Amino acid sequence: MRLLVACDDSGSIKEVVCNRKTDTSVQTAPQPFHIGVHLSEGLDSRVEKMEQIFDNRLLIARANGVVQLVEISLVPRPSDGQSSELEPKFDVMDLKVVSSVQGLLDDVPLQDLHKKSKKRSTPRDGFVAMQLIPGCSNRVFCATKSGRIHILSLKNSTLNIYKSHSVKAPLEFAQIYDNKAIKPQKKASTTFAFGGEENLVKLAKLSADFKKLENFWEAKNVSNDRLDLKVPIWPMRLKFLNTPSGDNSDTDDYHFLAINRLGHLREYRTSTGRKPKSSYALLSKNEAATGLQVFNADLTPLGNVKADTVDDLKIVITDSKRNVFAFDSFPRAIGKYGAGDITGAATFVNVVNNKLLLQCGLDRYVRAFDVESRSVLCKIYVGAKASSVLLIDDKEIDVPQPESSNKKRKATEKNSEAEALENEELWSTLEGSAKKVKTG
Amino acid sequence: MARDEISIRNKMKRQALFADLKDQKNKDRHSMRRTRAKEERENPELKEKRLQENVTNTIDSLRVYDETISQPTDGDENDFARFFNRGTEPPKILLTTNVNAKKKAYEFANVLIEILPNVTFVKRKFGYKLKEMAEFCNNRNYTDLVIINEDKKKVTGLTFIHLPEGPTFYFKVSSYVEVQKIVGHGRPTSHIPELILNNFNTRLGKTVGKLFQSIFPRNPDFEGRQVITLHNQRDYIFFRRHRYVFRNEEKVGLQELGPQFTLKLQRLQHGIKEETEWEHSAAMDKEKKKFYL
Repeated sequence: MRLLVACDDSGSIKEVVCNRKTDTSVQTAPQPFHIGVHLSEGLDSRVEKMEQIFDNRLLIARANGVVQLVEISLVPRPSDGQSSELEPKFDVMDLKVVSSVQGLLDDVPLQDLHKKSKKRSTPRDGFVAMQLIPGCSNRVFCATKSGRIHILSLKNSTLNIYKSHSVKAPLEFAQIYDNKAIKPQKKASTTFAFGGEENLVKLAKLSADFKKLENFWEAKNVSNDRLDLKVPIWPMRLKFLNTPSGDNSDTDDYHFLAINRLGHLREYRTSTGRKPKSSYALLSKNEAATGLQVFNADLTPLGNVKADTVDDLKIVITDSKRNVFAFDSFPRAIGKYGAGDITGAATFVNVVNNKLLLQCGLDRYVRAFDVESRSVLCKIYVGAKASSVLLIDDKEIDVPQPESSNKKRKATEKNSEAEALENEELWSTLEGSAKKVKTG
Repeated sequence: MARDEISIRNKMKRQALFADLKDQKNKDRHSMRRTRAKEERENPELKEKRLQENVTNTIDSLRVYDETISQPTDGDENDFARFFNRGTEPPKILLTTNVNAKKKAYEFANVLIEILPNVTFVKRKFGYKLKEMAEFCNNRNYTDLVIINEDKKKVTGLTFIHLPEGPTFYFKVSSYVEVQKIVGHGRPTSHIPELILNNFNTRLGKTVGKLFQSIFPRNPDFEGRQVITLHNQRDYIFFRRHRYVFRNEEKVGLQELGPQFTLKLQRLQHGIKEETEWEHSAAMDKEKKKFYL
């Protein structure tokens, strides 16, 4: 298994090579074979978003407003010259920045918004999304907290700002719709959803040449609560679903699931109205939801759900304390991932191939869970708060076994009969002594 | 002793016999120690060897393996220093209490004013949120905000917020001993004390250690001979304050200045009370040999 982890403290990307059952917190458990540090630029330039765009290309967005195109190559692992026969053989990564653009962030719009915000810390702009636009392999979509939408062009391994737009700030997420298959030759518009604190979920459309941006739908808040108080608006994450009418319809009908900061899971269908079709409170009071993932359905490359209904979906929700909850569609809590073991808030969760759940966060560990059984497959201490994880490959690495251990095993097999005899003798003596005690 | 060997039915005689046996055992042990001490006086290597072999197991020495102890801190010093003072500007602390605090909180605040350097106490008024307080402090270049938490006329907690961007620490306060109750206590002076941080080994422990380092200036007044010790043992941080005295050229004495209290980290949050980085839970106390600091 090869992972790339974005580490905050050193502003680096760490490459972790390990097998399943790796656990750095247990001395006797298998340890990672390799932890390599790449592209370290310091805390102010920490990596916020990572996206693998081709097999050997990586896009990274840094907190100082720089987006970098990184080339990945595999090089033989430098050996330390000690017992090379017994060491597992694998290549390590070499990351090289090919191109970069800067100046994509702007703190100023957030300063005014901060006065009304419930967040206490001084706001800093950052990236909330960075995705390759579906059906268009040379355009990159970047969204920032301050409501800037940048379209970057990617030509001949060079990144440039192609067009920038503004939407209502602040943003917590921006999710591109990719449930409908887009034919590469057909020039179609790109739809995305965004929202944030006191910024209701909105749908916007980018024209085929990305020069125009138009907001075409806005959600409506739910009715006031039983005390006739306004329910706070703070959508945190959103996942599009398939529309039941089918892929071929050209009407603007969108179906999506959104979670807000209070832990309310809401289902919207644009054709039926602006208010949510359903809203369920999943978390108890004073817990803030931060992440949403669906784990039992096929997902699109951008993480949307290839399902028509929410009825059979199972979801993962993270909160700002330290929990990673699993819920089913009732919604009913199924359980927690890493029960009791995770000590810090999870900043990132992702489901890969419906099998693995990757999690990292403020406790400086990266964990991989089995999605269904929720058991920990590996747990690695990376030494820095992590904000993003990418699974590069899921292959296990062969560990050469020393010959002597095989011999020993054979020898023990031969002696098994003798051992059985000894055991019987021991049992008979023990039983005899027990009887004596009873009579005495 | 085997069961059938004791056949004395008189309890007093049995007790006397047992006392004799025990006395004999003690005498044997003492004589063994005397002879061993004599041998070791003649041959000090034997003592060294014995001490090396007979190491007592303590809960501390049997602590559960923690991989964060041996690993170097990630990120260079400048990155870590962004959260804490760079050493150029002296710390400036604002001290306050919880809303509607009682007398005990103000008494504790008086004690902290003596301990913390460059501190301003502001009486907490009703109606100000933490966000507003943090903004007030940021505008006046305060580096830390300390809030005393009092509950049912007892000081129960201390919150340290490092400004402008956190992190936030919440400690439980216990075992508070007033200065007047410490026998032979001295009177502290206004010199900047030296700081001793003991046993902050893990990654979390180092962060907590950095908090205390950031609160006290890095240029202590050595002529004051005052020392503040924060000793971590099994996740409890013991606060002590002493003055050292040079009695003669060889002997050094300690005079306690007080107060004494114990802190226990309950929560570490990112930013100003935002995402939890680490939180103590009751389940953590189940494992006696696992320590987090």
